[in-house]
Amino acid sequence: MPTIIVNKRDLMKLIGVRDINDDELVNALELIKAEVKAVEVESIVLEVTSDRPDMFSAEGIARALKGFLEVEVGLPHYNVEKAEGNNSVHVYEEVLNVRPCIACAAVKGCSFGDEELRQLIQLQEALHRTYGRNRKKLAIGLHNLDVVEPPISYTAKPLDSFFFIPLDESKEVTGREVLEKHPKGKEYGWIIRETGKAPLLFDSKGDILSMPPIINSNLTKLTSNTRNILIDVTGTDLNAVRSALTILAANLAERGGKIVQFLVFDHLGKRLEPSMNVKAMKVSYEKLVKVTGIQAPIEEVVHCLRRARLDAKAIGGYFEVLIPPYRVDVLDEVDIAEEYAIGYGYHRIAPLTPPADTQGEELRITSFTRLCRELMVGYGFQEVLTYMFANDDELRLASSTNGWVRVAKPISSEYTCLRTSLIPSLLRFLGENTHIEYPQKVFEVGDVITPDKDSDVKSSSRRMLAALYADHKVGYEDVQAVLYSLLRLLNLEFEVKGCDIKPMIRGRCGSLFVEGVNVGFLGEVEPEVLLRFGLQVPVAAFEVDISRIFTVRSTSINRRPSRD
Amino acid sequence: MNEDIELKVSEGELKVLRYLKEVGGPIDALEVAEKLGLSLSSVMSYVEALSQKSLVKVEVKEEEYAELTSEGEEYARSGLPERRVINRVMELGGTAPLKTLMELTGLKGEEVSLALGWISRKKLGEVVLVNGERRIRAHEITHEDPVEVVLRDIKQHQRRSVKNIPGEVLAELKSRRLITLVKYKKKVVSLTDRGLKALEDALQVKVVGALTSDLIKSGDWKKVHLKPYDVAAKPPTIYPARKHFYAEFLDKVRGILVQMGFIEADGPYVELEFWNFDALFQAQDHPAREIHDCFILLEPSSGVLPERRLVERVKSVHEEKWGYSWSESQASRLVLRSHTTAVSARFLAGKPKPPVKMFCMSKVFRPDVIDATHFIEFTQVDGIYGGEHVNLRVLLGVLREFAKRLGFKEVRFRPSYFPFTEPSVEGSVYHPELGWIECLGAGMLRPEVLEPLEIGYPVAAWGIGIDRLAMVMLGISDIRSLCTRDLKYLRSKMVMPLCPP
Repeated sequence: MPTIIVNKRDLMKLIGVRDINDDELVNALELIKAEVKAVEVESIVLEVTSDRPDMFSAEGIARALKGFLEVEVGLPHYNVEKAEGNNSVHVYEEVLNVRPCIACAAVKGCSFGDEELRQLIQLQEALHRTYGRNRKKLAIGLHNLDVVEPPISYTAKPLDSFFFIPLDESKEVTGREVLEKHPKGKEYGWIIRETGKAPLLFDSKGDILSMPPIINSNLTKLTSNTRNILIDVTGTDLNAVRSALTILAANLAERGGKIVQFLVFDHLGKRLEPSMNVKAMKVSYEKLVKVTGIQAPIEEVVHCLRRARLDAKAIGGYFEVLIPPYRVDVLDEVDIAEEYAIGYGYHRIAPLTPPADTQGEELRITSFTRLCRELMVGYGFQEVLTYMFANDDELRLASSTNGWVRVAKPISSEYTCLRTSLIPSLLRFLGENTHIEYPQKVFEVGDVITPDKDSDVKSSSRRMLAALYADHKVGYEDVQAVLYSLLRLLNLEFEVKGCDIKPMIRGRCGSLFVEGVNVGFLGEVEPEVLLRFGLQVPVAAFEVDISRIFTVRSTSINRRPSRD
Repeated sequence: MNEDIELKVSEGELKVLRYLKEVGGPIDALEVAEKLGLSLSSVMSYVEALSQKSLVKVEVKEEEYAELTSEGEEYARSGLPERRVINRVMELGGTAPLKTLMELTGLKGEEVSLALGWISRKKLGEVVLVNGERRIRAHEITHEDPVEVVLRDIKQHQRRSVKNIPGEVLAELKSRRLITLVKYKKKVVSLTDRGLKALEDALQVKVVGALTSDLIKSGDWKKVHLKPYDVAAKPPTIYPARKHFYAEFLDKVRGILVQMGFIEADGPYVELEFWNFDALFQAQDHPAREIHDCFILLEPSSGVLPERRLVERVKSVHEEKWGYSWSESQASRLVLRSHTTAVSARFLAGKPKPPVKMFCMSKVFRPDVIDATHFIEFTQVDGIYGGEHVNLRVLLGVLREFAKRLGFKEVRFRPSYFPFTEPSVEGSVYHPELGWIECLGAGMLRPEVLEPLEIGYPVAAWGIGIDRLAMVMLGISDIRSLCTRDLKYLRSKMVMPLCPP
């Protein structure tokens, strides 16, 4: 969700309302998907949901607010001048393999000032980051139309074959120099570098206007005196490019400018930009009520949609809904339903207590987990929770598994993979509590993940119970007694066989078999491992797979009477 | 029982008290030492202590003592000369010539004449004339000479109180210059009434601290006095073994959902992008799918897509609605699931019959800067409610009910955005100190999600940032405390409040 900063006075001016206090304003903003993060003396900091790029600037926010506050409802109207004369863009074949899509428009007669310019740049940047996928999918160029002589050519040239003065610079440089030296070139050069070419916009004089998606020419730089603005949007996704242009043109025109359309000639043919076409959609009353549960009278539904800056006409059981061109998020009946709910006001929607139509139940392994945890507490063991994230070093040091799940880009060297055993993290726990009196008895019940090539996700999770017993003098029998007691209470047949499992001392480690199935091990931890975890007391431990025990128990327990 | 006295009588003091009672009257401390086989100094320290407690009375008395002269020493050792003469004569048949006496007894001349004087005075024998010869005739001696007894007694004890020597004996000792008289000070100890009482108590009742099994079995518990305790004194600090506070919180949340009619489900932690994103109508170039917003795996890196029919349906909805070429290989990539909504998607793929209420409470993973409010793995609770009658208002009802059961009386709703729901809603609960806390994300699943899964009824979905709620309800300010490595913290964490303050 992009953060948008608006000036309060500017916003009021755009809405055309003076008598609204901060609280009312904040409340209204939050009810139209603009979450208020801070209210400052002059400005408001907002987070606008990412489905509403038309609200990434004060103009769009004001337009929506006007509807919600009923200052102006229904579709907004824009002054659009059809493309005529030289207002055209010609797309050359050279650019199709580099950055194929372009849309252009101009807005004339903008009343411009510092705040207006700030909002325009904010909108441009927010679109770049979100819809534009950091300029890869689309990038926006804003120019002073008065220094440009259309028609405009959109082509691509080898990086070393042209010169221009980039924005806010004074020296001519080549395309390659832009990529290698200019900060924007370094930041966004990856988008085009592979092609060895740079997309370029020329006007009819032959001046370079822009090298998208990197930087404009200094020639067309905007100032607060600029009245007539040329917008270009280039990119890889034509729909996204066109939507962005429509949003930019509509928002600029909110301040009273006139949208001047351009004709784009490309390999697909000829089209008019920006598209200011109103979309129409038919939706039934029944559908709106089914989705929202709000049963308002027909006229109120129409009014709600108009508050959301849509328009609607009731025809029979249906609504003919008109959607303004900048609303790129309204695709489906359910989107209309949300507009209805927003127009109605989320704060007014009365929740319906759900009927008791189902019977709740926890997973049986959850119940079994709780049973084991309660018994372990009864044996005097403190429950501990550790992270599922582990690191390769610890797993290599203190687990017996060979492979584990590793992430491609760890956040820190401490968390690089998922644990395959609870023992390493519990040893770490004890290692961080050496200043606390002994004995220390801890346990954890948690899931571990091991590679499993037979699974659709190439891994499987098992629920383990691990218990560690640390004291100045402690041994195998101390944990063995606990484990045996636990298994007896679970009414299980089991046996222990000698084995050699990391990180246990050879000759002091046993494998546990329940009903013939290997479900875990117990033993005393190797002194070398203890020292690596900063421990200077012996530790006896066991770790058992309670998900497997649970399965074995469920299948075998019915065959045998209880021992009691 | 008098606590003051009782507790302060030591073993040694008790011995002295007991002896004083045996003696029955005042007695010289020196004598006590002799009788008890103790050194005078230790007896004196016991006596001193007892006297301070008024259990004994100590009087200092000056007394005359008899000590032996060198002659007295000699007679104490060898006997009185008269006794020696008589004894010798008796050996010789009861009579002997006077003139042979020096020779017979080894006494000097004057000693012999002295002896003869005392023989006649004590009527031990007599001098007779037989054939003109003066002979001594001895009487048979039937008793010891008391003077001799006293001499030996004084020799043994170095001195004797004059009081203890009979008058005639003392007179004889004095006249014969066998003793000298010396004055000495002595400490005379006697038992007081209080001392007698203390002794009786001490002999009868033992004070014990710990009531032992032996005391109970032997019946001795009846005889002993159980020492009263300072019941307000601080005991040592101990901690119980406990369930983890956060696990208990999650148990409580789970319990609420089960009571609300939801069944629990789970799914894999390592998930196909297909279930984590594609089935949830998240476009393949959506920023949330990039490596800095989702943990993509190094190994294993790709998995197996579900049945063909479903894959085709998901592919076509993406291509139709988003207008791009959907990649199967990207959908097969494995990630650590970034939300438990992936579990809901898998659950719906099983085409459950409505009405259906299901929840999943488990770990999810997202790359983030690790700080007090963000960690790279956290617990999420996701739920769905599907049925013909389910709509946005019913969804709000579910969220309100959940908040209410957790103890939050007020809840409010705002429009929101999630790629897989429309309409979408963000719910906040009201905390009296912290204000509105945004924690409930929800919405009606989009047709683009339901149709490929062939679900023909509306489904409401919600997700709860349960870590955030836990922090608020448990009074925790650092999210990392939920998986703390501080044993002391775990042991001493206050129990969970039953409802928010």
